[in-house]
Amino acid sequence: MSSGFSIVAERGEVRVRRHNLEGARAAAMVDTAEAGGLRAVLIGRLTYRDDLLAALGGHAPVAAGDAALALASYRAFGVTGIERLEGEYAVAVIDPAERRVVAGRDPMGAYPVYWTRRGGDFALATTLRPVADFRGDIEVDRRFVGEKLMIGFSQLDYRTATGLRGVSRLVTGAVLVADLAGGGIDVRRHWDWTARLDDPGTDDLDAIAAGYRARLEAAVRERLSGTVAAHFSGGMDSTAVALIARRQSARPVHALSIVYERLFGLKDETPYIDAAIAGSGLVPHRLSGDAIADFDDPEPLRLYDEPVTGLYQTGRDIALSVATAGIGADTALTGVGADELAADAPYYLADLVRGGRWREAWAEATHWGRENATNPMRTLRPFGVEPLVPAFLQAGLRAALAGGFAPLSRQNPWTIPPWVTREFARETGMRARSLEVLRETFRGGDSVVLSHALAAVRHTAGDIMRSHVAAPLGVHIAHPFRDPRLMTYALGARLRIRPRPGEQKVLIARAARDLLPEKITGRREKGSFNAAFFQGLNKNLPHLERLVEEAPVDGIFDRPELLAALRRTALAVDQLRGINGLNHSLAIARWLHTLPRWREAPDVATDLFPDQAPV
Amino acid sequence: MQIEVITGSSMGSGDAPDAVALGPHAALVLDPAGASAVLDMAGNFYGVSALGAALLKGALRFGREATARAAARRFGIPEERAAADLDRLIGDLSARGVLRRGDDAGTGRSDGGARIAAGLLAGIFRLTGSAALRARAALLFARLSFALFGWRPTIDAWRARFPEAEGARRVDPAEARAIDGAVRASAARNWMGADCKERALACFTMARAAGLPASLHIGVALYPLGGHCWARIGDIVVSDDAERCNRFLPVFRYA
Repeated sequence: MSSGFSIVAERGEVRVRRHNLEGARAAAMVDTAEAGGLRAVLIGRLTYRDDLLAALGGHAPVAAGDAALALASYRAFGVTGIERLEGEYAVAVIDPAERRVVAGRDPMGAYPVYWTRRGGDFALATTLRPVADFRGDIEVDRRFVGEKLMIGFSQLDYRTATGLRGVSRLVTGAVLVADLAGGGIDVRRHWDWTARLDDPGTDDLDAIAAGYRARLEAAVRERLSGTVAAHFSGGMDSTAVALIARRQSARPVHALSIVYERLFGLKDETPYIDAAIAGSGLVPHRLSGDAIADFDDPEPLRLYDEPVTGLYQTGRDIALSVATAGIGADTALTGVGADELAADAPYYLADLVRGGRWREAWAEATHWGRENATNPMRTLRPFGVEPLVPAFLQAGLRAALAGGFAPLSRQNPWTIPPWVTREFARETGMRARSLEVLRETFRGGDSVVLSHALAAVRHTAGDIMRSHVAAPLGVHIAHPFRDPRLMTYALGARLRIRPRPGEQKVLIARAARDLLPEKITGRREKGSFNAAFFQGLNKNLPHLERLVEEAPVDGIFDRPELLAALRRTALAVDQLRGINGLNHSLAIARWLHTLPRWREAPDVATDLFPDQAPV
Repeated sequence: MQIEVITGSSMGSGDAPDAVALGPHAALVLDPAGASAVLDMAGNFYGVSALGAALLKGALRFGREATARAAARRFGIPEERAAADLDRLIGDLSARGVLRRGDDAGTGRSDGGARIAAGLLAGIFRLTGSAALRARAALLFARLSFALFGWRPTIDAWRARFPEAEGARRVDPAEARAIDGAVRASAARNWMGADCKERALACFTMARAAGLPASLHIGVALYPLGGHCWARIGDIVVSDDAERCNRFLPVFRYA
C-alpha cells in the first residue's frame, strides 16, 4: 500500500491522518505544524529553505520543520506562499478562518495528491486508498486505462484523471483550493516550464557547463539530510551526484551499486563502478543484480494505487530502497532526471530541416554518420524528418490505415497493440490520444528540440516508488537532476548547445569533468538492461501467463493474442520499441488483478491532530 | 550459467548415424537463463525457445534418437511425441538450410559471380592507391556482391582474392585508422548508406590489399536478437567502435 497523509472534511470537521507509515523513521516522513489556528501537513522535503526564510523576514517560523516553513509561507503570502515552495513534497494547509484547504505539489510531482468530493464533503490524500474509501464506490476509469495503454511510458501525472472514476489528481506544479463552506474547488497550475526557461545567455559550452555545475551542486547540497546514500551505477549521472555529495557532506556518504557477475552486457559495468569509487571517499555497498530478475513479483503481489510504469524493473527499485534503509540512510540520492534534458538525441536536425537549412542538416547528419559508423539517413530520418511528418503518419502508413493498430513485429510507441480489442480502443479514444501526444511531443513549441524536451519533462513527472516503497521504509528519494532550478537552466542550455556524436551527454560530461574518471566520460554509451529484461521475462513467463489468464481484462484485451505476444516477446526476436505495448498491458492487467485485494487490504491510519478542529 | 555458442566447426557431426550438423555459416547460441537463437549467415536469424535450443543441442551432439529418448524421459512424454517434435524442428531448420548432412558444397553461379566481383575490385585497387576511392569502390562492390550472391559466396570469394600476405606486416595503428576513416567517411557520404558487413568487408579488403593482417568478425546480441559485423586490422577494431562491438558475443571469425 502507498503511504502519506489524508485530509477528510466531513460534516464540518476536518480529520488529518498519516497512513501506512509505522515506526519512528517512517512516521517522520510526514511533518506537521500548527500556528495561528492553522495546520499544515507535508510529506517529503523542502529545498532552498534559506531563500524562503530570507523572503519571509520577520514572518519566519519559530519551529524548524518543513511543515512549519510551509505554513509560515502560507500565512505570509496566502496561496502564493504554497506556490513559492521548492523541494520534493506534497503539502496541505487547513485554514479554519478561510474555511478552506490549500494543497500543492512540486513541479516534478515527488508525491501524488488525490482528491474527491461527496456532496458538501471533501477528501484529499497523498495515497489513493483513503480517498477511495471516502468515496465509497469505486469504478475503474476506462479512459484512464486506455490512456495508460497508449501513453504507458508516461507516469501520467499531468492528467487530472486517475484510475478510479470520480477521483481526481492534483497535477504537478499546481495548487488546489477547496472551499469547505461553498463547496467549490479551484485548481491553479502555477508552474510553466516554458515561461521559466533560464537562458544561459551564451553558446559557450564551458560557460554553460559552469552554470550547470553550480546549479547541480546547489541541488545536491539542498538534498543532503541525515544519513545519505547515493545510487551509484557507474554512469555519469549518479556518479556525479554521489561525488558532489561526498565533497559537500561532513558525514560519510554511502554509494549503493547493483553489480552483475553473469549478465552479459552488464557484467562489464563493474570496472566503471570500480574506477569511480577508487579514492572517492564514498562508502561502497554492492548488491548482486544477478539475483534480481526483471518481472520478479513475489506472491502475494505488492499493491499499487495505480498501474506502475516500468513494472518490470520494480524489483531493482525495491532492492535499492530496502538496501538504503538497511544501512540506516534517510536520503537516497539518484541520477534520475539527467537523461530527459541532457541526452543526446539530435532533434536539432528537425529544426534545421523545418527552417529550410537542408544543406546544413545533411552536413550534420553526415558528421553523425561518420562518427557513429552509420549512414546519414540513419540519423537524419528519425531525428530530422520523422518529427516533421504529420502525426497520423508517424506511426507508419499501415498503422494509419488500420486505425492505429499494428502487429507485434511492427509495434512502436505510437501504435495500438493487436491484442487490445477494437471496441475498447474506440471507446477510450486511444488513437486520438496517441496523435495528440505525438503533436505535443514534436510540435508543442517553437522548436522541436524544446518541444521534445518539454514532453520528456511532462511524461517523467511523478514517482510511484517514493510513496509505495521508500517512504514506508523511512527513506526519502531525492533526484537532484529534477531540481527545477537546474531543469529550467538545462532547458535553456538545450536551445544553445547541440549534442555531439561520439560523446555522451556533453553538458554533464563538461560540467563534471574534474569529478568523473575519464573512463566514464569517454564512454560512448552505457550498458543496456536488455538482457535483464528478457531473462527476467523468460524466468517469470509462467507467472505472467497466469496473470494474464486470471486478470479481469475481458473487453480490454484479447487474451489468447496477448498470451501469444508474451511468448513471442520472450524469444527477443522483435524490435525493442515494440515492447512498450506489452509492458503497459502487463501493468494494467496486474493492477486490475490486484484491485479487489487493494480495496480490502488494511490501511493503517493514525490521527495527526487528535483534537479535530471544526472548519 | 554462461551463454554457449555452438558452430559447425566447434561441434562436428556426432558419431551417431542420425547426427545432424550445423552448416559452416550457422551457429546455435544458447542462453540457459533466457532466449536462444539460431544464426544462419546465409539466411536469417531465428529465435528459439529454451526447449527447442536444448533439443537442437542434443541432436547435434548425440543424434536424433538419443535426444528424443532423453527428452521423453525428462518431460515424461511418449518417445514418439518427443521424436515427432524433434523431427519437426530438424525438418524446419533443414529446409531453411541451417542444418545439413555433410559439408556445404557451395558451387554454382553465385560463387562465380562473387569471384568476378572480387576480381573487378582487385583491378580497381591496382589502378588507384587513393584510400578514398578504394573505400568507395569496396563499399559499392560489397553491397552488390552481398545483394546478388549472398553472404557465403562473397566472403569466400573475397578472402580468396585478397589473401593474407605471407609474413604480413606489423600493424601501424595510424595506417589502420586511416583505412577505418576512409571507409567511414565514404559510408557517411553515401545516401544509400553502408551497413556493418559492407563496412567491415571494405576495411578487411583494403587492409589485406595493403599487406596488413585482417580478420572479419560476426557477433550476436540476444536481447533483442541481432547481429553485427566488424573487422580487425591486427588487434585494432575498425569499421565500428570497439565499445559497440564488445557488446556482441563473438560467433564467427574469418581470417
